[in-house]
Amino acid sequence: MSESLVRHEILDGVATITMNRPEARNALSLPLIRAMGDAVRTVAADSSVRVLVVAGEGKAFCAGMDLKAVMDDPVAMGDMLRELSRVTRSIRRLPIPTIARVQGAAVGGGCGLMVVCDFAITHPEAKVGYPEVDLGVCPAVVAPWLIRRIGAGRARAMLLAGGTLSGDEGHRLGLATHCVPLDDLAATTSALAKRLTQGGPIALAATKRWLNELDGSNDDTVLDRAAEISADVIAGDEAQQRLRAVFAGRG
Amino acid sequence: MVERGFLYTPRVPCVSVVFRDPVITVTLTDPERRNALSDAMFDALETAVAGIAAHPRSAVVRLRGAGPAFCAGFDLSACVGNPATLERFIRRLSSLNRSLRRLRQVVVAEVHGAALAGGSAMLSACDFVCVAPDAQLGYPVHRIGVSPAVSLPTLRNAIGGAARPLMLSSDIIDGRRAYEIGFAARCANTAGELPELVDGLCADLALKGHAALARTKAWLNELDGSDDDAPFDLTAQASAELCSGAESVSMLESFWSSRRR
Repeated sequence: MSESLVRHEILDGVATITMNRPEARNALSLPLIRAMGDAVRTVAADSSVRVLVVAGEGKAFCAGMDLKAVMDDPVAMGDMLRELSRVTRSIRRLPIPTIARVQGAAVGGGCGLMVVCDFAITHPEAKVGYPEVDLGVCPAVVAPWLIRRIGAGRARAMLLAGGTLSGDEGHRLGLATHCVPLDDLAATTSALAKRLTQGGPIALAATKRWLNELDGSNDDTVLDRAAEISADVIAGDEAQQRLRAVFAGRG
Repeated sequence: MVERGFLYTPRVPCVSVVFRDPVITVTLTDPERRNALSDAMFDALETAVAGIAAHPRSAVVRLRGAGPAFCAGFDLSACVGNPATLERFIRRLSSLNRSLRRLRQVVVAEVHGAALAGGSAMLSACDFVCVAPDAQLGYPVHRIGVSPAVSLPTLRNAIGGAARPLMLSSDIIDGRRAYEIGFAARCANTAGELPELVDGLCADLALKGHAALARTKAWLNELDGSDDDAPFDLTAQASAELCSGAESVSMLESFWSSRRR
């Protein structure tokens, strides 16, 4: 199950973890999130890996949490949020640079995966952002990572405004570190990954560890609390009513 | 369309508050003094914010100024030769900023004209700052021997490292620049288009899940330290303790007399 939901390859020191649910735009189901966690653990245990690329198969990087699959089950929704919280922190704490290669869409939890990586490369027409409050959901799990990426002020406006942005605008605001034409996305990612493999792995690991320590990325208390807040809000009447309405509308 | 709003008149007529669920509009209404922060204005704003905090059906607060400016800062006419008043204004500003930041509702500032010193400080406590391109923002208070430190807890969160040059330089930046550095979340193409831009943002925010908005704001406040009184107290003290010093007293008098000439 895990193998089919996530592909994991290593080539010349660059590991690529690819979410593989293209028919669902790589929406994050609980099995997919767990498979991501397994893949990240494999990368962490392989000392030959110098760089990780996180990618999505098909037209979209990741359309967000697959909440429809657990509709009417707020407990399962909470479990998914807690699992996503664990996976994002395990990506963040890898001792190697990480790159998100983002085509099509990176929305909600998908955008969370994007900003937790050290680099994110997208294209101008991509759709990125956090529409959680539109659905009555609280983006608590992704908020700490977003604040670290773009600062508290911009994160506040982005999360409270909801909706999505173009890849271009996301790049201007700092969500993505690179924005290139879609046709250049793969080549730009490969070139950056190759360049990063040439850095001293001990120095890179030390730099990353220090950056994580400085910005609070190692603080499990905050991240655990974030997961509980998101789980609590999603189980509330407002979120459940809005989610039911959205899913009914989509058929 | 019948409006459900009503006009709330605080004890002193410096502020009007219109409740039109789920948006509350707070307007500073002392245009002749460019909505300067006086004791009367602080009284009115505190009363308004307390009323808003108790209002359950609202999700968005729109904060704006009547007349040519959003808010030109402290009413210095009351402070010249009276350092105790200046010190009191600083402490009241710190308190007002905390109250604004901790409101359950999302606060949107609509900024045209000047938003200087204390006026700019209020903006840093808002969740969204929407500006006219020619609005004027900044902290030009070193010229009167005052430290803008009181604004730091919210300004540092709003714009990060950009707070340092903005505070130390006393530069006044326009709305476009405020947008570039992230102080403003939205910048209208023209001053005339600002109200429509803010109408749209408030209407959009009103459509969000109100519980989700409130919980998200509370979490952001917790994450960025807005719930912690210590930095507010420390920075208010740092600004206030300079007020009775010789530098501040003489520079403020000199500034004020040069303005009157």
